[in-house]
Amino acid sequence: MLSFFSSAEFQMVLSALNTGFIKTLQLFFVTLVGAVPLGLVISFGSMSRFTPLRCLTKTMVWIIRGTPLVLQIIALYYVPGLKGFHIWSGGESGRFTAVAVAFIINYACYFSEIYRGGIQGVPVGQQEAGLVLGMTKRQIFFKITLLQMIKRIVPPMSNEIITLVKDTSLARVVALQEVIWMGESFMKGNQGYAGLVWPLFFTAVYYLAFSGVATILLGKLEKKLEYFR
Amino acid sequence: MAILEVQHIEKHFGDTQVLSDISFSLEEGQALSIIGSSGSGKTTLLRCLNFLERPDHGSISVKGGVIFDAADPSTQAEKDIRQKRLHFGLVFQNFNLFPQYTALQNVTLARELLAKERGGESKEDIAAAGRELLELMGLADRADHYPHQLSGGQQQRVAIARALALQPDILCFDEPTSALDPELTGEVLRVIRSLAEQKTTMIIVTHEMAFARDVADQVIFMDGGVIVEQGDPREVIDHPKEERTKQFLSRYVNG
Amino acid sequence: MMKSKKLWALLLALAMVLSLAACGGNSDSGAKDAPPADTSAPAETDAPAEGDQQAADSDLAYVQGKGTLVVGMTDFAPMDYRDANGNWIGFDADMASAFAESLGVKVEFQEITWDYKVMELDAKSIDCVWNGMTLNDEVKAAMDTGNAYCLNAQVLVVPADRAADFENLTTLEGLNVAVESGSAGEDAAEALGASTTAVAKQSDALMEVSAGTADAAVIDLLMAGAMIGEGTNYANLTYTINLNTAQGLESEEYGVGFRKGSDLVDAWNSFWSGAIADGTVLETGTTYGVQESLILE
Repeated sequence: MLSFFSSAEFQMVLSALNTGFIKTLQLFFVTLVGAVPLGLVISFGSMSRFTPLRCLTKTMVWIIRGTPLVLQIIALYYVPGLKGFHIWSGGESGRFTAVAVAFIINYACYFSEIYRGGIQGVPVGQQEAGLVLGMTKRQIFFKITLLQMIKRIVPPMSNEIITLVKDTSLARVVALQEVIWMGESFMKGNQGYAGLVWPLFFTAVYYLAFSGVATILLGKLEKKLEYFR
Repeated sequence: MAILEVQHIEKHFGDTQVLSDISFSLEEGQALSIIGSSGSGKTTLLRCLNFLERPDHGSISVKGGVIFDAADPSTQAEKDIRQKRLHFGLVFQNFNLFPQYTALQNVTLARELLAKERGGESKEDIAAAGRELLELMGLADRADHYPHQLSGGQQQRVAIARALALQPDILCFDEPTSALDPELTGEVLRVIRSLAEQKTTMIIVTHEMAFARDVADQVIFMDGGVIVEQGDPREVIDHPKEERTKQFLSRYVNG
Repeated sequence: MMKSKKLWALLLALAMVLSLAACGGNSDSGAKDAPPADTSAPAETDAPAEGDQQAADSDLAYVQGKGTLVVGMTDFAPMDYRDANGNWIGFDADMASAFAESLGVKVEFQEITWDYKVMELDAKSIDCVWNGMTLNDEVKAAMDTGNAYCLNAQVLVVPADRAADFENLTTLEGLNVAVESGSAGEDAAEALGASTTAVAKQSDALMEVSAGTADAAVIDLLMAGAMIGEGTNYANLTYTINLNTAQGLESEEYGVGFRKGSDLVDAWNSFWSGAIADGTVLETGTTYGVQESLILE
């Protein structure tokens, strides 16, 4: 058993999977960094009193949440090129950009609904208390509502974030070589190794480790916000 | 001259008229009590004074200056409302303390934000003033507690300190003891009573008839969005002239 | 209250308009100028700038303009696979490099999802499909292809120690044969009366034989040539009969696919004739063990 872990085969597979997992992580973090703020903008759009904007936003959220992410990735990557708009630069980087944009938009829409619930869940009295104390809307949002909203959204956001870790595997539909792609490659043949099934299942170790770390960190955040009710 | 002059206020929610032709005035240093059954428009009136609702008709003047006139759009500019709100303080029925801040931070937050905008007081001065107010409320030892660690009565006293921190001309109370267990109302009423003794100008919407009679210099009885009777509390509460007032008060005597 | 909500609303609307404008802007520049790509060959930049009009029509000029030929492929030994250093090698990969060199551009290998090869080509995320692609009706309908360069057939793979049992068989009746689901091999095996076990990949079919869960497998000749026998992971296997011959069928042909109407097809055909003439094709084929399948005329 130990000799297996030091074998050339294992080392080779491990380094290929590591390469893939770095792609997975990049996609994960880029999505998070993009979708967390964009979701807030979308949630404001869907709560706007300006009806056309509200309808537009809600329609967009409905379409994005109502169709499979994998379809959105395929559409976003291929359709512009098929229509003659070559907006994605060639090669790996173009694929990554397209996939990241699809993920950011998709997750921003899911986040926006969580935010909306979080914002609307903060009692209206909090806002009124701020108003009668002469605070601006902006001050009320950042000094009062925001943290209460964050406390409310941490549990549902944790669920989405764990889902995101696993959803990154959908990116391989447009040949983004994330960790599952790399795992599968050893079944067909990669660098002289073919017919290896275990690398595919071994990718589970990466996902489990990462979602484990994410769960712990998010749990800590949740705990940190327990100082108030 | 009256510090507050309210004239012919009207307010509709859709087709329902919740306030009609409300006029009264309040002298500096006096306490006004507003009584009446729920749905009579008392709370809406307080919310109009604090610009949480906008009257459809009528005007409000503070210290002789018109701060709101439904007929004059120039008095309703969005940018001035913040400043105008500061004439009034409001203590809510449900306290509405900010849960993520300590008692002291609840009291100092708004004043710190104002000082940051306009310059002036240092953070330390504001904190010292905040502690003083909490001490006045009998909460010196609770300054660093979070709202959920305080009893209802303590929370409401923090809310009163918070409203006082901005030194409003007129302090409004919206049923300040209604959300409290009976054994906790006393501590809050004691605080309000001592404020009255210090000649704080106040408007108190309340169901505590005995308290209204003892503390207020003037009482207004409202029913169905109109002022039915107003005047000296002993007159209105002990010797009501109007039939509706008598009916309303009898419930408290018997109950 | 109203104010800041309106502000946010405005920002959002702005972002949407901007993103639309951004697409529009890019498409304009894409049509007029050379498309955005790594223009790594500075020497090339003059030519397409002068021949703007031509660039819009000519695929060859487009590829030379951006300075790279993007080859769409999958990991498919012995045609395309990675060496120990992670570089793409194989018969197709080496020849594609030579073709790119003949055009004066760099070669870039892009792994694709095989089912999306036509979309990749039409969306211009790749410039050709060059990956041991069988020239079937579906491929011919969706792409313009170069001349066939390789013959393929379905062969029967059996354990080496039992090879003698399978010689001169004319029927597969009574045998349990592993095949790739939906492959030409599956059709051939069934036509010869085998009871088949359909698996996801050709390599899985090999595993079945190796593990003894199937009597034999039917896979591509090319793959069999490279993946089994001495010096491979499947040294215990060998291949015997050609099922196409056994059925009296024509062999399959491999070709390179380009966009419809692309002038790269002509460029490829003339490159290939040259490479046959100067022996490059045979030499490269011998390196990867596919020399017997090559079309050298």
